[in-house]
Amino acid sequence: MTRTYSNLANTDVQALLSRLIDKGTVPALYRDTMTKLGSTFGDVLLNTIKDDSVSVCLASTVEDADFLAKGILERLETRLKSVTFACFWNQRLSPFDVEDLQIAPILRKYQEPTATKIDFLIVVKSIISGACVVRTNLVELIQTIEPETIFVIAPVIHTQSEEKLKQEFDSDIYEKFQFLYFAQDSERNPDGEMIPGIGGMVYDRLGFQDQDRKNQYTPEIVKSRRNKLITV
Amino acid sequence: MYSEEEIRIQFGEESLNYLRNKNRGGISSEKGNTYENFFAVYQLAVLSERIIEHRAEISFASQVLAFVDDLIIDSNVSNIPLQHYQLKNSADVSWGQGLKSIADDFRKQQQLNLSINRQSDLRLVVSNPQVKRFLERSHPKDLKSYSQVDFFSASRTLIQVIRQDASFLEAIKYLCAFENPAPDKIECVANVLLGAWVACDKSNIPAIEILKKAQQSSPSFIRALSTRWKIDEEVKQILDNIDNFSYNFVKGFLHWQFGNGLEEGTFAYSCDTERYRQFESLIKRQKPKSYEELEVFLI
Repeated sequence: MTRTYSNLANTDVQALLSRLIDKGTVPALYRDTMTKLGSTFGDVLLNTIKDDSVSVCLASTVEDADFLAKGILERLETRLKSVTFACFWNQRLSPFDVEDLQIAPILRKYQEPTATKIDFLIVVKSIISGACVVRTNLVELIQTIEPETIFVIAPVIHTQSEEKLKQEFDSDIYEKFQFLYFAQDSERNPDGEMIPGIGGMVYDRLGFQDQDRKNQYTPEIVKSRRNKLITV
Repeated sequence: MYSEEEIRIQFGEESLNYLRNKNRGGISSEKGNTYENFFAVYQLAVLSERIIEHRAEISFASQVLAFVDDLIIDSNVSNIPLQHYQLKNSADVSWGQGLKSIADDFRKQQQLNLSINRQSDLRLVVSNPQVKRFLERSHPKDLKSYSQVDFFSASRTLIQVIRQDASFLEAIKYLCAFENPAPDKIECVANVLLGAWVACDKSNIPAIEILKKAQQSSPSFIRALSTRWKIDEEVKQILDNIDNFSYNFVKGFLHWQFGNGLEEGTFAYSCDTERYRQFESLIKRQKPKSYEELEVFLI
């Protein structure tokens, strides 16, 4: 196992990461652990963002929305006045099983109205491996949003992910990147899955069974937030 | 396309062995992200409108027993030349001399095509503008009437090539099931075409078959090839009665919005598929009355 912890990973965080790796962790506890990791990232962000009046957009995938993203969002909203949320339903695939092709088109998108120019865009994901999903969603977001700073956040990332993601963007965008993570892994199993990563396929560990099921799910956070925005 | 016997008779055993080895080398290095594959997808995309709208019967072949074999496009019309492409993504390319040189391959390909009563349009495609200029300056005189040098961008990924080539982008947009496709949909269509090309039998495949194969990807977001579809009246009434929900059909796909753009999506299967018919049946059976009841069926 080749894991390097970042200086954000105190003993409590390391214990939470170990709980993700533990195959015996049931989905309910796994979800709770992701939420706690999100809260910790939220605290890190609040320590970085001093001004309460900044504009922030937090974006996540559907599987992370009710857990990791919710943990961050709830913390940010304790202090920051303008936080919007975006959620993406991606379908990851290798067309016709051609190994070196990886895409993650967006099937569905929830995005709260926001100003074009914002201070912080935060893209969060439970794990960043090939960075395909993060790249896809980030490209979509910057079609309409011009952030000053882009936080790319994940509890665990691959050692090459930062470089890989930067390669996909022009310098005017990647110079805005700030990566926040607790651990970096460099190993993969023969299926390409990071070891120890977050203890396997996140859909399965969170209790979604597979990709199709997670894409049929509407996060509670999306339901509650959109109800406040829609006037019937 | 060409028999071993024809090649042996015309060019001898040594040339035949050379082609056999060249053919084996091409097949064994089959990966998705290659210059040759990106170019094939480019050609497929730019010809798509003719294939779909005008039912042009165009065939694609690659790595077959031929002297210029990276890509062969046949319009299946006797007076239209066979288009052969030799691709070189390198800074060191020359026409050369003698067996195994590009010049010799081009001459022999022209001779082989004439023997089956077809004219040739042979292209040497390079990724470096300086190399292109050099090859144009050193173009052997006897090849000029049936060959030329073309430029095609090289990059690590297909989407990067598309971003550098406006005609490629427009061709992919035509195939995309959206009026103004987002970057992820352009990337999806392009990579699905690439995957279909890599996975198909390249001995001489009708281009329409590659497009149909690409459409089988889930999702593909490639426009419907037929226009023979219509929304079920009952489904229309159900969808029309859902508050804050709007939808339209573009190029055979159902695109929807909720809350004036707060949420949006596209049903991943075109209206001429069994999966779309199942969607309509589900809607008629479940009769959703609100977006909350409908959203689970939209994926």
